Amino acid sequence: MEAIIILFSTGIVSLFIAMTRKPILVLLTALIGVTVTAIVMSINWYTPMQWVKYDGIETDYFTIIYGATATLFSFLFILIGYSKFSKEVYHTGDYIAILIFSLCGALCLFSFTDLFMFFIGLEILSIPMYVMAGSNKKNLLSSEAAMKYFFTGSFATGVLLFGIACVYGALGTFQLKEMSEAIAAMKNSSALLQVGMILILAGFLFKVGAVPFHFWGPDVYSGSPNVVTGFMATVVKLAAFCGFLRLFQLGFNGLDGFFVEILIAVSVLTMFVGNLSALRQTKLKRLIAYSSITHVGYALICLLVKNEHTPAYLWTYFFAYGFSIVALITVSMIVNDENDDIDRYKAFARTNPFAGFVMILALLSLAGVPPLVGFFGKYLVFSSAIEQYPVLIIIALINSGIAIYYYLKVILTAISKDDNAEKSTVSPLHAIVLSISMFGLILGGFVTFWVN
Amino acid sequence: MTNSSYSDYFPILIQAGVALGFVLAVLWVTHFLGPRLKSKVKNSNWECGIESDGNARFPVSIRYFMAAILFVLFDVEVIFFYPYAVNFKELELEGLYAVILFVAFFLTGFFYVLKKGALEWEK
Amino acid sequence: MSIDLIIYLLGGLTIGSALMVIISKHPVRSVLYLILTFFLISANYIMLNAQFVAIVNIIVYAGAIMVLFLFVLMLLNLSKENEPKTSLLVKVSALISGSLLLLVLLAVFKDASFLSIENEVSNPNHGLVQNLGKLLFTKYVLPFEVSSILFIAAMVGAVLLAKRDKNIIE
Repeated sequence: MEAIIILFSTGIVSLFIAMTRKPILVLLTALIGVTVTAIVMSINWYTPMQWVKYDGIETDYFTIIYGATATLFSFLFILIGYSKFSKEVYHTGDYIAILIFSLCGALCLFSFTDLFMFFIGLEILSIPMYVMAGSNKKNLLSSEAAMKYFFTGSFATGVLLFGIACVYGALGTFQLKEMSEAIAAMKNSSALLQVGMILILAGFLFKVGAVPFHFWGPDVYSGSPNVVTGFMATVVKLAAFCGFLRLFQLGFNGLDGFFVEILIAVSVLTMFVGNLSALRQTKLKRLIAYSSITHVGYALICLLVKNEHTPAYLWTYFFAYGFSIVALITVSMIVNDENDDIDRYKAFARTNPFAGFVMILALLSLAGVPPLVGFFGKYLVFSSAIEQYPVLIIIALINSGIAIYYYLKVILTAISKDDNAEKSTVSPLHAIVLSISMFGLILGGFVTFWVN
Repeated sequence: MTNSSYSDYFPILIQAGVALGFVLAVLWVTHFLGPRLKSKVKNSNWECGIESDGNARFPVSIRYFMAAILFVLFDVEVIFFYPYAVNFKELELEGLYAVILFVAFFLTGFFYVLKKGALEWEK
Repeated sequence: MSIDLIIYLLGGLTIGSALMVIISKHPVRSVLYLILTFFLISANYIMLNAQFVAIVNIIVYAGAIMVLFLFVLMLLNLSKENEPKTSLLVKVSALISGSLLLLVLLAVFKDASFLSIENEVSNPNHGLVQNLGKLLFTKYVLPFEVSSILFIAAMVGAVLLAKRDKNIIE
């Protein structure tokens, strides 16, 4: 709760500080605000603050872990994007404030206790994203991305709302606790409740971009400005996953019956469609989009397993995934190519050894190569589900194998020889972010052990 | 008013009926009042001058849209005052704080919009 | 005239005018039918004893948002020539999936038991503005305040996207 208040004030202050036309002040305000948020969250971990208490929000340990992770990634993305944001002095404050507002929505999704708050959180998370997708007004592709994202997104929101209405009709309450009690007290399952849950599930699968609701993904990811793509792939996905995990675990007592079959089918489809489409991509951001669809497929396995560690495993997965995306987006900002072709990264690792090294680490981590953090994420998810769903895990392992092919292709492009390649300049902020993500990629595994 | 039933809406229904009926009746009656001349020239869009050409609908400026969308946002804000006003006494200070906070947020937004010059009618 | 008859009449009219929104060829006519639909939905809300929602629906949707719709239509300059053509395959698959959804929903709602709603509609005080205000400013005051984050984000977004940049004009 305190975190949301601090973040909201930070957003507002940076909006008004931007009127001085000094981007560096906006950056400082935003960074200080986000850091204070993180500090407040860590204080909350040891001594919960209870000075404001209202219905709707409840902080537990997972709220804090997820919140801190989302805050960390937002911090990094603001750092990465600063070089682009500061070019348009008139809008620097707007961009940064909108990203921070979106983070507020994510924090609501980590801590809601009723469907009211859940829906508002989801909207606060997505509406700024619709705007940010189209923030590059000179580029037609960016406007197209915003339009597509907005239309499909609002349709999905409509479906979700209809689902919530059905659930309310069946259970008669909005509170997660009362909902789970009402379901437990039910003698025979109600069709109305099931239809409501399926509609909510459809809304969720759309938000995270799972097959067959993935069509918006590649276009939106490749059309949006790079930072926004990164933010969508990490913070928005983390928040959507956590929000729905909370809803299904606390409100619906976990997924039962034919939902499990639906989720298994969706998970398998998502892995295959994402992977097979990624094989043929020639643009880095489209590759990231399809690979992120695949990763959603792996993460869905998490939702199938019913035990108390599920939120921790899901967190590990997205923690690992996020660092890779941060590194890749930074590299794409350094290369700064309009067309975003993978060929443009030829000999990148030779001309820029450090950035190239981190890029290769990030790709290896996405592929799940052992010492890196991505391996731990995959390992925890797969090992938790292997007893219940052995076939599903085998399919997931096959897919991990396919994925290595296209990650290796990018790595080979990056280390290949090219005499004409020019050295790209790495700004200090990008160097800082690259070092942070390098540490994250290499040492993240220990952090996950500590948390678990 | 603590109780409501459907019969309470009859005055509204009658009012709506009278309003609609009046408009329709006036429109209908005007056809019979006053002299009417009909000829081909009289019925054409332009009695004299250049022949009409093209579509009457043309794209309007996005500036209207800006004003309209901000109007919608503030419209929604104002609506929340209604349930507050009805409960003004019972909610006491806590309700007042809640509303003041809400209005303060909106004023910040309004101030931002003004500062950005979004409502200026630029040249 | 019994209440049941009014409810069925209203429902039928609502569905009919909603259908006209998508059937009408002319976009402005669609918007006008949409306004009618909103008024009819408001009438339905009143039948459910939800006056506040009914009034909000008329003021915000039928009033303000429909004006926005008309503005957008004027902005886009739609004409017959540049209408996109949808292929037959898309039409057929949309028809099939739409009817499947309708079938499922009909089957569900046919014998669904709306426990909560039945209890609450029979209470004449339910849905009055006074009760709603009490809930909104006590129990649900947090979501109410948090929604202002949404409004401010929307405001900033609207200004960011719709305001012309000085450097682009120059």
